Amino acid sequence: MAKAACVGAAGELLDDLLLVVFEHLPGVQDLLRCAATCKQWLCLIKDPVFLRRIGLWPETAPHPSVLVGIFYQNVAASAIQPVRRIPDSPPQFLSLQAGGGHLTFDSFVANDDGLFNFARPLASRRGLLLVRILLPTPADHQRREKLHLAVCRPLIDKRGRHLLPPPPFLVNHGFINGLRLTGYALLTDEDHRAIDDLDQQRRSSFQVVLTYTGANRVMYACGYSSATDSWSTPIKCHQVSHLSRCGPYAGVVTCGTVHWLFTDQRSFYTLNVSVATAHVSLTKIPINVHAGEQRRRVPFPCVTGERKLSFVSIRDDGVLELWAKQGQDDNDHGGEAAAGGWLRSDLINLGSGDKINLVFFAERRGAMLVEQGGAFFTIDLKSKEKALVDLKGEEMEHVRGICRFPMHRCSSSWCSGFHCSWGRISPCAYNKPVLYEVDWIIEAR
Amino acid sequence: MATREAGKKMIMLKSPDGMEFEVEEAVAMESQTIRKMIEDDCADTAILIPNINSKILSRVIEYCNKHVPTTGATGAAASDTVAPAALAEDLKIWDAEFIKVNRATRFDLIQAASYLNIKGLLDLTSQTTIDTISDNSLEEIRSFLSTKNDYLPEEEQTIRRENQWAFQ
Repeated sequence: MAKAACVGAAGELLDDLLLVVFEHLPGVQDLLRCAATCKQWLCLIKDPVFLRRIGLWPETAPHPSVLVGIFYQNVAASAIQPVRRIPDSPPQFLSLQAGGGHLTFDSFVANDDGLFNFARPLASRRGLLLVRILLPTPADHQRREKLHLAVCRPLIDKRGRHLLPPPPFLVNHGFINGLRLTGYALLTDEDHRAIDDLDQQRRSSFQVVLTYTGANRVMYACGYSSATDSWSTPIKCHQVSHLSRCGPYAGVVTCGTVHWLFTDQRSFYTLNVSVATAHVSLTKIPINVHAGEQRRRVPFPCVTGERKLSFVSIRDDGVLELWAKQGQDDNDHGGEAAAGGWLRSDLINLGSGDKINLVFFAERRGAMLVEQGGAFFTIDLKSKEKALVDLKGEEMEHVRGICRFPMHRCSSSWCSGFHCSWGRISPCAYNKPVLYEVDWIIEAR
Repeated sequence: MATREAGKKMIMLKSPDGMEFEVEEAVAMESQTIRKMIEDDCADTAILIPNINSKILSRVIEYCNKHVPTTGATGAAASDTVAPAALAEDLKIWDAEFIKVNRATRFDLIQAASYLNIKGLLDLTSQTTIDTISDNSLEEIRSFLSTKNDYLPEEEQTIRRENQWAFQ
């Protein structure tokens, strides 16, 4: 039964009723505006019970967070003639917030000068977004050129665009010979030590790690730190010279170490690069390449609440399996133990009817974000609950995957990592969409 | 008192200011709160609806009368010859008229809808408030909902700066 409502002065909505109204608001933006109205409303809105009820703060997540949307770039600058500037082609933005249909890249990041035209979003972490920008090159430009990267804080600081100095190696646009980017990752101070204060988080410095292969197929890792504004000396990753990269280009970060997925066509491995110590290692993971599977799905790396690297693999029958490495003191067997302390458990069955198009790992939410049949939903890695990302109907028109992410299988953030051209199998080089999530930052002072 | 009239079960609703309203059970059961009372057999005698005065309660009943699944109870357009789409359109127009009330009445209606748990009425009554929040500046929201801005200018500035996307 509904609890008794309280009577107030005429013309004023009381707390209980305000919460009813707030709960009905179409989007997070409206909630933020309400919080900025007066302190009483702010107190109501930042109440954890309320945030849980409206789904911003699942029990399993450490902080309330907002799945803001997805950055993607479908306009490809030609490989050879990369920059004939046409205006208005910065990355596009698909809002996952009801009522956010009007949001564009330019509403988050200042782009008056066209710096981000043709830019490709690469990775995002803790409110930061790493993009590759394509600067105009002279007409007689060389085919090898400097890699230009920028980091911005879309919702937090519109004008805060940080241009990184070019790394100490040159890359090719043509992906044919020579140096080629094979991976990238973005880290913040929070990855190296616990930062609880949100204010501190906002000012924190960041690191970028890139991996690339040379003409001799040797892979290198190279790191940038915003604290010193400089790149480290590239380190050789000889461990993976006999392997091919697969899975997302954006590495998964746990405890200051970045992980990328590799395969030798039989097994999967992770290349682990520690940012603080520059230590590089290779780990074999117990998930085998399924020879019989029709779609060459590779396991999708993610991180559990205990900050352990895990994988989600999708079987052809639509069952998602979670592979998590168990700690020594973990005796809670909810699944089937495999070699090396890995535990496999069924996450959810999504059925094999509708193709699963996009899969992201929403780190703050502790969940996978999946797009299937035009609808987005989250799957909590801990509670295994599926929750629809409710766009209140208004946006479904343009969410329909196909027109937004037309790159066929490669629109998936975890395509098999290869595609065939002229009978050759080469690493997939399409632009991947990037999920952008931020902490719920509104706080009383 | 539960009585029978022309084969329809009637329910007595009482407002705190002493007015009594006799309504069909089906109409009263538009309210999930009352439905629960009836299902739990707590509704033998008249049901006292606390906190909702007779003026508001009569309007709520008017709403429920209109929205009760059509068995001819409202007497109006609820016949088989009317297409469902036209009926829905008719209801929409009726709703729009119904909600043309002053602010105090609307807030009272929100409160009543919330207490009585009538989803349709709650959506309808809170929608204007929601629209106000979505479409207007902070100053307009404040004046519309009689809230006072108790932020210091720099506090408000901070919130606006850190959440720019909400203020575009």
